[in-house]
Amino acid sequence: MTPHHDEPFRLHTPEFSGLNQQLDRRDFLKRTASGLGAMALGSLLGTPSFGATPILPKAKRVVYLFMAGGPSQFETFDYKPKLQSMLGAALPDSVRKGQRLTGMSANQASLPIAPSVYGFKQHGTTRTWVSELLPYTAQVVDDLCLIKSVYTEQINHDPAITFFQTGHQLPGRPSIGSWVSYGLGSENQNLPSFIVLVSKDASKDQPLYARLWGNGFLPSEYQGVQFRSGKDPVLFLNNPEGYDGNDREQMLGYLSQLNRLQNDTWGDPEVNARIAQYEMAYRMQTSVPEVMDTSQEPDEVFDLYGPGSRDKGSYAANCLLARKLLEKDVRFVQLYHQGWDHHGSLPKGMAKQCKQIDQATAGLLIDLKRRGLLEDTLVVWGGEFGRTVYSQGKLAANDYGRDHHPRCFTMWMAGAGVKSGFSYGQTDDFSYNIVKDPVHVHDFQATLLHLMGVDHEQLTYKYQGRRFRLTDVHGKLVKGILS
Amino acid sequence: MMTIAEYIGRFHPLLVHLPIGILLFGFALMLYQKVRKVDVTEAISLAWLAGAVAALLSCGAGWLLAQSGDYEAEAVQVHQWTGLATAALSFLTYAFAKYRWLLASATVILLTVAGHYGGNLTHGEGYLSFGNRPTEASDTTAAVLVPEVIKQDSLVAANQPQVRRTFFYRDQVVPILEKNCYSCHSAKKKKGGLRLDTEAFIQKGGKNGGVLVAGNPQKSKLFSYLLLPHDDEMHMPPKGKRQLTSQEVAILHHWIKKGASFKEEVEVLTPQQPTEVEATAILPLTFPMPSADSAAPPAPTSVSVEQTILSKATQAPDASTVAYFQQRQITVVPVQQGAGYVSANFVNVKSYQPALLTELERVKNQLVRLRLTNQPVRDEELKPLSALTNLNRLNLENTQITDAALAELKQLPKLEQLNLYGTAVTDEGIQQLATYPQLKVVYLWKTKVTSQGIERLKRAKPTLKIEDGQQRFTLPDTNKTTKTQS
Repeated sequence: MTPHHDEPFRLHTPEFSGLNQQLDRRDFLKRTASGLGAMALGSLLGTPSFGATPILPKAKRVVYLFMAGGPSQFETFDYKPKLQSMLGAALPDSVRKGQRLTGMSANQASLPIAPSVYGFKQHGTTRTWVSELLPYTAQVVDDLCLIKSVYTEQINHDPAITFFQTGHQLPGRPSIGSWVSYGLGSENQNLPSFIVLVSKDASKDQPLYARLWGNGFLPSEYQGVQFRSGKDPVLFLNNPEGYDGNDREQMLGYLSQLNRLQNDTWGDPEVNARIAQYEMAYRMQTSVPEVMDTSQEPDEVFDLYGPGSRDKGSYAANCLLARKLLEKDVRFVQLYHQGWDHHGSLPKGMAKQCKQIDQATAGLLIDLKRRGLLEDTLVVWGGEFGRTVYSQGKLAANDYGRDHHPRCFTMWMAGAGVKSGFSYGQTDDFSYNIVKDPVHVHDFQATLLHLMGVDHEQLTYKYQGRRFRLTDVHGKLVKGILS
Repeated sequence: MMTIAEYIGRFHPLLVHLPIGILLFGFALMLYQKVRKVDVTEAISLAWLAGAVAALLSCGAGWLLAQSGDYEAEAVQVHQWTGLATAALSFLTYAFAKYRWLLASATVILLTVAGHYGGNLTHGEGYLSFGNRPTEASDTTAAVLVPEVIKQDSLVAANQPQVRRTFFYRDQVVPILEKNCYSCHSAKKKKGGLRLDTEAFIQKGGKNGGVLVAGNPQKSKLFSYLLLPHDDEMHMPPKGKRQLTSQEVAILHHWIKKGASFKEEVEVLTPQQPTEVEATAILPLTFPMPSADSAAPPAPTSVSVEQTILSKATQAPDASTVAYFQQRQITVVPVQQGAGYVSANFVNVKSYQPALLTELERVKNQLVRLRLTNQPVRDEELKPLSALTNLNRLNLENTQITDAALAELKQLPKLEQLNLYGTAVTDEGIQQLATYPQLKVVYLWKTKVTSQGIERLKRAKPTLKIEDGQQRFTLPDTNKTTKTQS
């Protein structure tokens, strides 16, 4: 047979995908013609979308308050009054139905029910039950959309948090922020579109790792950039000592020329990413100190976010910083607060954790609202799973622990595009199983993308021969919470 | 099932290269002998004999291949007879050394002709013609096909905006088949007995039955074979041929799913529900091509002004306009994927000039959101904004405007949200907001407005949502929370 060289020479390996793209003139024109390189909606354009109607984006920005460790739903939002009379009673098998437990409590002789030691009260015009541990959040409950029926498939921290952040339990996929940043780009040219803040004041019982805000197989300019407290908010951003701005600019200009030469030769997409990142870093040398500087904020703002907000790097200070970043139209701010993994001494631990986040979280909502930002910003609060109704370890009247519970837990959203003063989904009397409107992690992710005007089935990236999505091959839009 | 004969036949395209090579080599040896004056007569004879035998074998295999019926008889005829003549002549060349020069030359000419026709059979006619070959640029990417769809739309739409004509088969399907399938499945060559060049043949299918089940792409081989793994024997187009792009696959899927119509469709449009074709049309370009659909739906009460604006198609600003603003650090982006309407954001603007607001004239019909936050904008500079007839959200927070600006903005017919926090507007000034035709939300935190002024405005316009930023926390009873911890 004679060979057919109908197709231009292609190497179908991921390393060369950028080169292939570069060779593809159509693709090149598509990406540049509109003059909106960053606003590419890149993969949305490349994939067919017959029958898909465009979605009107409600949210332009997202701030995701991640409570790492798995906060208990019993001591926060999922009020279960019937448990009060069942203190110490064994969890009925009819409820548990033989479902798996973690290795930490599976061998326990009994699974005694532990009702919340903290009281609940109804708040707001919607008369929503909120725990007494969250007195400030309770005052903004009319702005929240509680989802009490979230569930996940993962029962341990690492896979569960990876699942929430990337849509898959194994490491290596891009995080939500990277997907959003890749799909929508940024309106601010001087700050990264995906910024990560980690609270320093939380106990670090479970680790966080940079891959949670990693770009996975997406080009690396879409990775989350961590802003730290202290002298160097972004590591290695400032000029080295004795090196002035002009020298730096010259050096970067020359480096960029070299990179471009390299790019012309090899077409490696990572070279492009590197060029983009150097340019961004140079602009960030002025934009970052400006946005990190909270000294111009009036006292009234610090009072709103609570006493912690003057302590840089704390959760409260990070909430304030998040507001400043959103004001600058940063697309996705991911804020982590660790220390919610209460296997023992839960009452004490929850009181401490809630106190750290309560006022600042509510303050952030109020601050966004009065500035007019809440109408196109989505605020998300939640952890990677919930906690069990039974006590892990010894149950005392005022002391107990709770194990991981992936079958149901509470999250909330607020702001752009979601109903306010609304509760969605319902759990049984033991908050063990969902009885109404379950929301899977992928459903949550699909809904988040939808609120940003992106169809989760259309935002794909081809890697290793397959088109990947944040929601893998799952995910249904939760229509019930859309306003 | 394939017979042994057919199997041998398939070796024809391989075998033909033997006589081509050997015979040409024989001719080359003759030239060599002549030029270098060396005696290689024995070798020349051997070459012609071997070439002749190889040619005969190829002819045999070729005949078997022709029996498969995949090839058009007429085209095969020419190839067959020139091929046989080549074989015969090469034997003669071997046998009659005396006339070898004459015979050899004739053989080479015949060989070339036979080879050319053979090539046409394998690769399709026009494989060698220059400049006619479809190039990358003429790919049926939507970027190219979209304007065509639209063109038809706008022709019709000029007079009757509510009727849309689409001829999906002719405009979208045929070009794909033409480019990817005709070389093996049309008049010249019908592999597997299948032709895809007319409606009747597509409906009829091939040797192994139908290829199209209207409405069911999964059951239509015309579609499902495209999705088989590349190394699957049944995968189409076969290995080595140009593969369909995902866009093309999607077009075929869409066409079959929607009933595989071979006719032109005339549909009456209900505005607000973009048709499928419209949806494809806006996909590949960040900004869509113009569509002259001007029939506005009656706005139901639940539909916001913004939705009403967006439901009317508009011509997107062209790339040069977007680039113009980009150069001035003004981010102009579509408010919705594929929408012609845009938002303009001044967040990157380092040195604000009043002239920049005048420049917004360039997008005066498309601009629905404008964000001037933190820019030193003054009252009189807002004059050009009155041309922005579709402006729906305006962010003026932390600018230097005063009450005078509020008189100016009254002109905006579709303004729903107005952010004035951090400006110097007063109780007196905001009373003008009551006369704004569509205003629904206003932000007044950190202004000179007092609660009395807000009360007055509320009485004048009860539907207006006023965010004054006065929400304060009540201090929680901290004793209670600590009580249970002891």
